[in-house]
Amino acid sequence: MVMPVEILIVDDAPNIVLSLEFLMKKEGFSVRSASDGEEALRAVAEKKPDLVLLDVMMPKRNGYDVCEAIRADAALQGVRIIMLTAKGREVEQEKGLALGADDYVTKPFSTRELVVKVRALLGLQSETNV
Amino acid sequence: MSSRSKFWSILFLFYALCLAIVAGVVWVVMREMPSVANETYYWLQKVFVFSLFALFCFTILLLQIWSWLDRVLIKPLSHLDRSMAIMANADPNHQLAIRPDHLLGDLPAAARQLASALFYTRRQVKEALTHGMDGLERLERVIKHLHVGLVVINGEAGILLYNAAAQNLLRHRAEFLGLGRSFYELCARMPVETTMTLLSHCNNQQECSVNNGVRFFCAVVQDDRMLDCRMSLLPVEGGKGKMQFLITLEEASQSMAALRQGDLLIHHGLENMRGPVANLRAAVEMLLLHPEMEGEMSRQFIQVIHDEGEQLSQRLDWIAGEADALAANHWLQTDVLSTDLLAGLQRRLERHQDIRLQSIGDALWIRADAPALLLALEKLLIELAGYTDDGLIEVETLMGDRRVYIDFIWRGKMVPATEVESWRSMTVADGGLRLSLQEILERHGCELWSRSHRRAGHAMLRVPVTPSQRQWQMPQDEMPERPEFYDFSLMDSFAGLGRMVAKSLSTLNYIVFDTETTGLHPSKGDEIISIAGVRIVNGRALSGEKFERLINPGRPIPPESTRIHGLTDADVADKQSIEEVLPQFKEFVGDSVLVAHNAAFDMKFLQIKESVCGIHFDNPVLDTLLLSVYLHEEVTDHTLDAIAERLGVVIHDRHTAMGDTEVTAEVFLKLLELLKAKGISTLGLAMQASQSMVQIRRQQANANY
Repeated sequence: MVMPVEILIVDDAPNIVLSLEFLMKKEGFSVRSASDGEEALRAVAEKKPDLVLLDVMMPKRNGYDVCEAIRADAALQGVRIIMLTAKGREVEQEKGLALGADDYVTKPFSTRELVVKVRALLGLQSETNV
Repeated sequence: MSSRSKFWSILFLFYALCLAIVAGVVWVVMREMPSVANETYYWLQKVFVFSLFALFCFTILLLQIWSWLDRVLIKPLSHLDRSMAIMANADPNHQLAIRPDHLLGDLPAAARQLASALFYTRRQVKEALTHGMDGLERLERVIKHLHVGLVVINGEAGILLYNAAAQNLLRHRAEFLGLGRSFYELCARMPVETTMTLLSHCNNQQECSVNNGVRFFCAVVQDDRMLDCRMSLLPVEGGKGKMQFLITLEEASQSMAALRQGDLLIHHGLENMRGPVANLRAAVEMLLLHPEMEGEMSRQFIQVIHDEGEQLSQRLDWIAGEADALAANHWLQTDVLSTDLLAGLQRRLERHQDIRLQSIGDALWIRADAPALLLALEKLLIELAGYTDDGLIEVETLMGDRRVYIDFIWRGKMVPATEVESWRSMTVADGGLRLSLQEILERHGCELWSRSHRRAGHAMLRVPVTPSQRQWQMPQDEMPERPEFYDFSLMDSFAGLGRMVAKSLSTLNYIVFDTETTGLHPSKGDEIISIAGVRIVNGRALSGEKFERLINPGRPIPPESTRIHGLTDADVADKQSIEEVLPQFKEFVGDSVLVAHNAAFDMKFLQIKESVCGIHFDNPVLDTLLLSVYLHEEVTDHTLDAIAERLGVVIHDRHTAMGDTEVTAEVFLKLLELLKAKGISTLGLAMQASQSMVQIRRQQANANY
């Protein structure tokens, strides 16, 4: 039996979490969510996900911080990170990538695009009809 | 008529009168002759013959005495007269060449003493002036180096002063920027005129709202740039009719564009958002309020929500992009060289002994509000010091694709992101300035993050900043240093144009010029091959306002003319034609009075080209040759060299257009002094004096052939 792909959604805005959870579940992934940085790190420590959708602007520890912490942890090697943020400037994307994110999506984004990026990072074939 | 000729004429008349009286007496005696006795007649005849002989001898003697007197008294006197005029007005070192056997006694010695006393007094006055001018000079330096463009104009928009910054701003119209020139040739007339009117009105009202100057925008003539100007009225003694206006100029093209862009962004941005948001709300409300809606209908509403959402995202992206571009052009930000910024940082860090900063990497142009960025960097480095093993921080500036990176590198651990993020809320203060790091970084479109460095055991903090456009621009040509930018004395004397003849010679603007030609006969096809001019304003030749062009005459230059001026066909092969150069020269000349040595010659060459160039030289003309003839009638040699030598002007670069022009200008300035001493004070009088000399000159010329 193939292990389902684990996705962790980290965002403090419940509305977007609702959409993302739905979207990822429809893709057939197993989904968990966290609403701030500390909760996210706990969730990651609990069970290593395949991919984290990580918002930047969050209370307590922000996305950059979480990203760096994940990358610093040898036990969490291989976790993919896509940063989601309302910060749209190129320099912020660059900072995200510099701190270890694999990709970067600016809000507002198209869900189709996000799915393409997630599948690409996980090495899965994109379903053409999505 | 010279005093010498006058003196001798009177004496000769007196002699003739005496002769006439004697002749009259003789005639009366002869008429009475027949009535006297024979003996008496014989005796009378003897007396008569003897008298004639005596008269003859007396005349010879008289002529001898006269010629001797002329040599030893009258000529030396007239020479002394001339020399003293030269010594007083032109050359105090002028040597008296008076024969030693003169009868003037101690007069020449006294004159010499007087001249030397005058020379020393003048020198002292000059020294005293120089001393007194020290303060003024300092002020001049300030004006010259002021970053803001500065122009002072009079009521007719004539330029009285400008500084280097103004010159730089108006560099595309450089040929029109000059003392005495019209400001309207540089900037659009309307806003300038309107503002002047407003201010003059204000001046009459005593109290008004525009006392602190009026701001206006003004386009540079024949240029797409805009200037941000502020005009204020200068207090001038003499009151009405002598108004002067101080105008400060700053480049406004960029800030105006940014302002316009900002307006557009807010206006269009908001407008563009309203539509999609309204549509979105309406569609959602329909779906919420009418859950019973048919499948097809509700599918359409959902499609609307999808489409409008997409629209909204696109428009948001557009606004974000525009806002970023605007932020990069923030008015507080200027172009700074990274090395300068880091040097400033180094200086600020001198207070912190535990931090040593070492700068490596290139000098790169960045756009920054330097004081604020410096404060932020200083604060960051103080925090960083705790992470270094040895207090040494290297700073490297790198050019990335879109950004300049300022990397701080140290031996030690990197700073955790939590820490870096917490630094953002720190505040920095300097005097009245109090800002959070966050604010400074955002204003600069800046971020910061710490990573480990490629060098083992090292870490770095990267601060990406916006590069300045200047990075990719060619360095601007340095403007040539111009020694004269202003003439404060012009402020008192400058008046409008027109009715020039009544104007005082000392207040007029002159263009002294000279041409070199292929030959002497313009009507037989000889052409100008070089023209040079220098502007004289208020008794000074402005070495910064010169005109010099070589011209392709469109015909071979004869070797005999090359011998004079040294110019060959090869020298002028790639030069402009007279049709191109002469209009430029006319622009340079403007309304000034033209001055040349033997001006008729040069004017003839100019005038013969007027129709083909579509211009007309209607300027008044003065001729240094004629003026010299007027002043020193007795002397026959009025070549430029002879006059220059007489007036103590050093000759250089003779027979180049510019060299001759410069000598002529100096000669002209000395002649002006001599003219003033002779009571020739206006242009009209000077022209009249020259005209009267044309006749004399012709006679002299005829006498020579």
